Amino acid sequence: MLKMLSNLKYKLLLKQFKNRVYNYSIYMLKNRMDADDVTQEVLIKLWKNLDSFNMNAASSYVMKMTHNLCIDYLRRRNISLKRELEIDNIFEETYTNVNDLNNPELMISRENLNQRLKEAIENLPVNLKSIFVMYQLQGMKYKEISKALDLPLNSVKVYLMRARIKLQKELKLLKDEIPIPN
Amino acid sequence: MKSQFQINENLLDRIISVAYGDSNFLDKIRINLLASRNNEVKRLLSEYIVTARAIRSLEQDECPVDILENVKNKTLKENNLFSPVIKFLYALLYKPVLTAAAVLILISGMLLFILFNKTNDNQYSEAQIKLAEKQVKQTLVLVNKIFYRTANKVEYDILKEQVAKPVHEGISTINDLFKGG
Repeated sequence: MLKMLSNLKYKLLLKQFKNRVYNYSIYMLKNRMDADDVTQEVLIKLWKNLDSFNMNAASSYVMKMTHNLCIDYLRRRNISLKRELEIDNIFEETYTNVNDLNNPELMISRENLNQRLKEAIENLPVNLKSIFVMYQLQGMKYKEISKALDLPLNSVKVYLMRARIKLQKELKLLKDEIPIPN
Repeated sequence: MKSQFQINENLLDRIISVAYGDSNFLDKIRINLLASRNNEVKRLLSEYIVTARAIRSLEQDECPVDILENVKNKTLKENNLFSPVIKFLYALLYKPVLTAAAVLILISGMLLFILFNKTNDNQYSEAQIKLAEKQVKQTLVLVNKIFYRTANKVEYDILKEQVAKPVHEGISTINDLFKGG
């Protein structure tokens, strides 16, 4: 019975976190293959630590694990934070809307905007990016982020604000090139 | 004066928070008022709003199936995570239609059980039935008396003294006033 419950618990965790872990890893590592590895590693680690797992703090725990692994990967593989970004195609399919297929102009501008946004987010410094992705894209709360990254609550807020300002500056550079669709 | 207006760090933070939708209500009003009066604030606010909106529209990418398959192979199969019981429990938790169906079946089963198992085991003697009838009659008489007294009280005491009399006095006063006018 206990085994059955822990199996169920794991399946629920998988359902809840698989996409979050994967997306976070993509943004942090800027590389799909590395993100695949990190995601797999996190999910296996989750299984191994299931008995000592606190479901109430699941979000912080899983994201902390993911973040630490991403940092390890960044160090291990010596990925320079300033290197030119490889633009992978994984996001392009996600943002394709059937209704927009008849409007190539809109499609191009949307794709460009998404691409631009993605690049701008990926270009943020690691400490700002991790908070920005957790808060803006994964819907985590300040407290959860603070726990996940071992940072004081105020620092989380300050870094988030800095990330937003920096992102805005990055996007502004390209503002006049492509119109932003409403 | 407006050209001398400077946006400090604190104000910028508030503008950004409003644009991203995580500010408090008062800040929202303040910043919107300020934006209506100051073009620089308005420009900043609208720029950040556009970005915030675009960020919200970014969707999460699906975790690839092959990763899940790998994880399943390494952890789940040996522990039989995908056994029928687990699958059923999981489906109950995550599929509302199935949950609703299960609840419906459970409630129907309970109702049927209650309806078909309802047996009348109570056997009363003739004397007990007569006593019960007598008690019911007495109760009804008591209730009738109470209703009768209440009706009388309402009709004579309350309506006549508390309602009709003041109304009558009021009308008389108005009449006197008209006559006087």
